[in-house]
Amino acid sequence: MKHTLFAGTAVAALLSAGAAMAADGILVGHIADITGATSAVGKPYGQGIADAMNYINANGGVAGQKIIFETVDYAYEVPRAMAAYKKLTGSTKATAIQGWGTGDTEALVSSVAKDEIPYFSASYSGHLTDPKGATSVKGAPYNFFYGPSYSDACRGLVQWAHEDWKKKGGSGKPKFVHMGDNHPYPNAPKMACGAYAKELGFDIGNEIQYSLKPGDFKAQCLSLKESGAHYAYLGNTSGSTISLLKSCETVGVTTQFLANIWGTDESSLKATGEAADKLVWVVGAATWNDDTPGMKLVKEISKISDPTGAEARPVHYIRAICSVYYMKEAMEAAAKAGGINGPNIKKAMETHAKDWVPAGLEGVCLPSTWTGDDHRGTTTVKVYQASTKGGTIGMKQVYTADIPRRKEWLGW
Amino acid sequence: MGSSLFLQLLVNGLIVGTLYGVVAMCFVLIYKSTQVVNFAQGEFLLIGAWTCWWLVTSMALPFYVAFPMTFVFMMIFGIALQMIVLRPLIGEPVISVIMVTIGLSIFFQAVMKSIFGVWAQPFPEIFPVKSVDILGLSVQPAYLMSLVVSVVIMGAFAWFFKYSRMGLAMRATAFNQQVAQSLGISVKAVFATAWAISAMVSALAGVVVGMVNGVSSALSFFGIKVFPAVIVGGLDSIIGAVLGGLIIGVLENLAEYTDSQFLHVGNLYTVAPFYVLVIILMIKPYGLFGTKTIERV
Repeated sequence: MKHTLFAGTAVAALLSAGAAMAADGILVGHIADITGATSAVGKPYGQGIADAMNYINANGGVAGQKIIFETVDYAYEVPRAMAAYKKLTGSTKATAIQGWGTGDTEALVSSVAKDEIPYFSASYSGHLTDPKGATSVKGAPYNFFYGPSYSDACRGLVQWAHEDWKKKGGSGKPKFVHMGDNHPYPNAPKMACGAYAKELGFDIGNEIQYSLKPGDFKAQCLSLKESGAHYAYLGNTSGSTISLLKSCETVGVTTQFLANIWGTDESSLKATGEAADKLVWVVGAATWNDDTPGMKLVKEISKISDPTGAEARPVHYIRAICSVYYMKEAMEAAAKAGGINGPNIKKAMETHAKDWVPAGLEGVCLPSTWTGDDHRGTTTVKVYQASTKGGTIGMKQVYTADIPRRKEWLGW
Repeated sequence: MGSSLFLQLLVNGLIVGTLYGVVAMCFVLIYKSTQVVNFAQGEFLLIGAWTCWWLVTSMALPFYVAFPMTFVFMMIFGIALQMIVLRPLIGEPVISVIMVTIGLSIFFQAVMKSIFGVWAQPFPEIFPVKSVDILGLSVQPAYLMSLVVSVVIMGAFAWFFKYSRMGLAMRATAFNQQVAQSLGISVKAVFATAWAISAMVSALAGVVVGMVNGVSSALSFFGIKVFPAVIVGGLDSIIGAVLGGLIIGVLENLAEYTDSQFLHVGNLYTVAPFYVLVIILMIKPYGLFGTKTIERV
């Protein structure tokens, strides 16, 4: 609780008064949800972004320059994100932005393209992956994110469900239901994932809506029970998932739940208890206890806000570090190619390397490749399953889906 | 199966509705005695739930000790809030006081988040999680308990207003503050008591909902959900609050039934109470049992 999310931003706060001082470093916007509807996952992710940028500053910066950033808590309200963006593109234009939600990121697609500001979102909406507008309504040339898109992640979950159904010897068609709030983020993969589930032989039930804010979801659980769904995709974030799983446990729902990448994490499994047993979800990077070479750097970065190094960070924190380090290496490449600016960063992101893993984060970030035509960094989906019976919390990787890069799926 | 779902949702609605009714009574209690619509009511639930959670988990107190201690804390909190923040506003325009309660709700939200974080936290299991079977319908023990406690509270409210000295003083104050004061009733004490009772009873609802769904800042949304119940019942009617709560509880559950079985438009569960709120305001602006004010012009 005592972590200083804004540790490095104290410097930035001082500097923000004088935009001209951005000339002394690289101005990077940081738009985060620290107190809003998705703050249960937004706060650790925002902490990861801030820690990574502070760590980079403490270790020589980017190509000899410090990152100047100010964390703006927009509380998951799109108008506040728009206002923050306007501020970031005011007298001194941000070189890049580390952003957050789907609603705001999608609303800013045209603006960041016009202003040539690479926007590294924590929204993994498939709509952001088509840089040229080849298959989608509009292109998103300056949008990048680290991890599989929501659509690909959901396809990965559906693949696992397909295997699971076969393994269990299920007869007939299994039934799949999409659940989530009526909001851009839970809705982002709905059509794409439903179409793939149908292609695999699932029956698709009517979607069930439940709020992003935690609450009493027994009514929705009873509807789910009535629907007879075998598999249900949960599109909301962890706070809401906790309530839903608890509510569904009380009314005896036996559906296998499939949560998206923000749908649960270590703390949320603990909070949900036995109701989370057998929950399946997507993890987009190594986890805190994984024995991989890159975790050494993650743990050093973590000491920025937790000098004792005692706190185990959730998966979202680690993905945030990946997001910053891809940006950092793209900025370094841009510096060598003529200067750290938006177009050069974009070019570096698209040409830097195939199966790119930032130096020092080997085994942590999934190898990713962005090209000028395709911003699906990775289509590898690591599927985990929780075990929470008897008071112990376990999470184990049970499946890896390699989703094909079908052309028609770009931007969907 | 459709009729079983209907019945199940109906029962669910009635049980949740009693909780709405309890919180709605707190709204009404404050409004009746002080003419203030308290927009921080949802935060009272939040503070009560976090307090009880903290006593049970961090202080390791048994629930039966922590629960009454929470009540005592909330009573002191309610009185202190009235004395420090609201008493100086006596005589100020009602809109100023309403704005202060909105400010308080934002302030309490922020304070709770900074103290307890933004994560939902589970209550240790006090009642069995699995529902019990009653006439073929599954009902959660915590909600059964809440049903019993809510009915007891409603009865206590009825007795309090009809027979207790303070209850009678509150009714007199609500009727006319100046006359009540001239009869020797301490209006300040009445105001403080109203806020104290409201805080205590809201905490009870907060603890019950927290036991079922976990404690998180989202609990305060309960205050907003209860608002249609208060308007439907009538802003100054205790009976209306109870009935309004039941109506809204049943309505949102039946909206879910209609939506999931027939309409498939989504989200009807959340918006249905607010549709009713608008309709009631259009045809019966004082609610089902509210006092119709006659103004001479």
